[in-house]
Amino acid sequence: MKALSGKLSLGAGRPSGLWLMLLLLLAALVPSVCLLWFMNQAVQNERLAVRQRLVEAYRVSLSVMQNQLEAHWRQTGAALDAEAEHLSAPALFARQVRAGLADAVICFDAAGNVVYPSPVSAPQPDPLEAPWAEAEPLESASPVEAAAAFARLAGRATNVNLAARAFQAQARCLVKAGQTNEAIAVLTGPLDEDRYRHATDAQGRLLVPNAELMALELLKATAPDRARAHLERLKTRLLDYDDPALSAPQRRFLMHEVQRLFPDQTFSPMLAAEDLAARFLEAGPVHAGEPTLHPTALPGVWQFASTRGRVVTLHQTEALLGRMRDGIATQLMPADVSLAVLPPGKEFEQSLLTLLAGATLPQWRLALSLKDQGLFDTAAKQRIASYVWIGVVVFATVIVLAALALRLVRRQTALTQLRNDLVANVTHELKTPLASMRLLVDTLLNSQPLHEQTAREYLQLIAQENLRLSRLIDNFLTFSRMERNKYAFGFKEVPATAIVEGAITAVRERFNAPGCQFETHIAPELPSVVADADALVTAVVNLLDNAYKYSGEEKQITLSASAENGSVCFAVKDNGIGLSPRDTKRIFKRFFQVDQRLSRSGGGCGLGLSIVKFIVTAHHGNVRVESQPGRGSTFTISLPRAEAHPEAEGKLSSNTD
Amino acid sequence: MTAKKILIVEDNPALLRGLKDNFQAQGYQVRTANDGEKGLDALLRDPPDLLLLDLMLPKVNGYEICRLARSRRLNTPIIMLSAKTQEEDVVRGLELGADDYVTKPFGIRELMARAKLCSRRASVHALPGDWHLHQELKP
Repeated sequence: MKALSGKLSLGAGRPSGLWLMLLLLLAALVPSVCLLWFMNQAVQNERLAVRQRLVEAYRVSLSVMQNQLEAHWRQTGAALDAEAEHLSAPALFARQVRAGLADAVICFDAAGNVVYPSPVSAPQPDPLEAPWAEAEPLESASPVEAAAAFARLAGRATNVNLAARAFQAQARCLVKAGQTNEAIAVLTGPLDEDRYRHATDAQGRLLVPNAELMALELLKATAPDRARAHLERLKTRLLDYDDPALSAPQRRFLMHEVQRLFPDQTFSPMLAAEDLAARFLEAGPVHAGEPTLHPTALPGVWQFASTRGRVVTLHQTEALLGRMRDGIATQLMPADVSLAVLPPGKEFEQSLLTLLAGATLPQWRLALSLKDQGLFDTAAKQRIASYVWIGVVVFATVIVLAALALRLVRRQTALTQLRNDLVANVTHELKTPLASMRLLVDTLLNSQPLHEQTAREYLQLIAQENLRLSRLIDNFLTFSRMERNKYAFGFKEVPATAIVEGAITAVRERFNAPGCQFETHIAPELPSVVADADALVTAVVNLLDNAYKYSGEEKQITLSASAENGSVCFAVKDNGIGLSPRDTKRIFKRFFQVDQRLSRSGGGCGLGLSIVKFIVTAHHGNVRVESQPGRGSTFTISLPRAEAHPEAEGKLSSNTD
Repeated sequence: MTAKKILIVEDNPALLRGLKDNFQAQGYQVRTANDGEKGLDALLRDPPDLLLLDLMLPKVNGYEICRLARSRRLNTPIIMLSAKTQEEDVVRGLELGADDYVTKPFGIRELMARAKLCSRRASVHALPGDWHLHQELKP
């Protein structure tokens, strides 16, 4: 309880200080948290913004490509019509397929009927002559006789078609009779003549290629060397699309047969095109329709009609994508993105931007994707880094400012505390002399009769108390002016001895008491100083007061004045309690007292030394202390002599006259 | 009846002199001390009938003297003299065991009256069966 009540009086000013610190902490913390939040937002926005900027930049390129693709297909449509004008249907087919422009082609005539690859060939109903009826029944019974009969028919025939058919039948019968070589001779001999070139059978099929296939089959078994030559001839014939006589089904049949006989032979890409076209025609009725790319009944196959509908090109999806890529001038595309053409229904997850491909490609889309998916990050990173740096700098600034403010506040709080203590001290210091004076005066007034000796002693005590009170008030006033920077010094050139004498006069009466040994050492021929004499005397008296106050029963106080290296020194030496090295650094601060308990005895409030320091500093001098705890202290004021004083010329000249 | 003994501990010589003369004039047997150390020493060596104690003393302050005296079961009446007029200072002094608290500057007649009251109370306390009186005196 006792300790608590003691603390209560001290703690009165604390809570507000605590609140202030809390407030400051909050003032630093809240902006920092906000800043972090803003930075986070900015960083997130930056990613979006970078993406947005990229999208905007590429949208233009993508629409250019869209236009190109659109133009490409329109040109394709027009070009197909133009080619249809001056090329035969098979030639057009071959050209488109060989050039890789289409996987297959369907050509129409003006009426909209399929011209190539026509599903059927035109039949050739040539009238059979009478002996055919005799020869045909013999074929299965007696192939040799049948062969002879067909040979005779061939010799007599007036019609090229019939002659050729007779030769073919003769060869067939010879094969049946086992006379392979004779059959080969017929097939490669008479039938090879040029006049049979366009001979057809009853179904309108060309005879010669079929005969060649037969010969090839026979030769393969008997004379492979000769077979090769025939094979080349047949291939040339099959791949010759300029000859309109060969119908598409027959061509396809022969190609397949040749491939069956000679698996190493291929008809790429024509056979695949013929197959695709055939499948397409089988799948359903065909019409050209709009000049747009649309799906067919065959899965994975697209059809595209020419502008006027004369030609329909067929495309497999994979090949189509390649053709579209070729149609776009890729050099116009930015280097860091790749373009994809997406068929309907296909999604592309990493696309940065998609766009409908245009009118000729309904539901197709164009998609741009970044080659480097980290592009956003690298672009955003620099900005983010700058944000982070700014954030760090602001954060650090806030922290530093808060720390500074906190320090200032704490210092201010401490100072306020000291000032409060001062007020208490001042009250005490003023009241003690008042109390003793009142007591003595009351006693004098009450005593009947007045004893003269006692009265004199009382009056002396009252005078001393009065003097002390005056000095105290002087010090407070000086301090008050000093605090408000209102102290006006009146500098004059004064002999140093005058200062010393002034100080001795002020303390002589007190220091002459028993138990106090006061000495003065004044060097001869002291120079003069530029000073406010009253202020300087106050400073020296303050030092003497301190010496008196902090010395014990047997006081030995020495005041000396000397000249040293162009300055004048006033030193006060005592044999008092002394100062620790730590205290010597602090004693010139306001309100500091080495021992609070001592303050009462000498009438100090911790102001004396700070006043000394203030006065001496104003005189361009300095004050220092040398001390040993328990042994005493020496305080020395040193001032520049008059001729070295900075204000000696300017201010003095106007003041001294 | 023997003269009452009073010990005055005060470091201001003028105040000390005035107090001493006044109490002597009233028939007290006066001893003085001008710092806390001497005051405590005098108090413990020969406990007086009344202690007049300044608070702001060199070496050992008045609060400390009061606390030490009470902790040694010394029930000498104590009157504190102080320039501190704040309520908490007064309360602190009384809680430490002072019987009265007089603030500076004071009238000497008032102080004399309080001193008389304190010593009278102390003599009543000393009687056996003072418990009733103690109760009556409580507010």
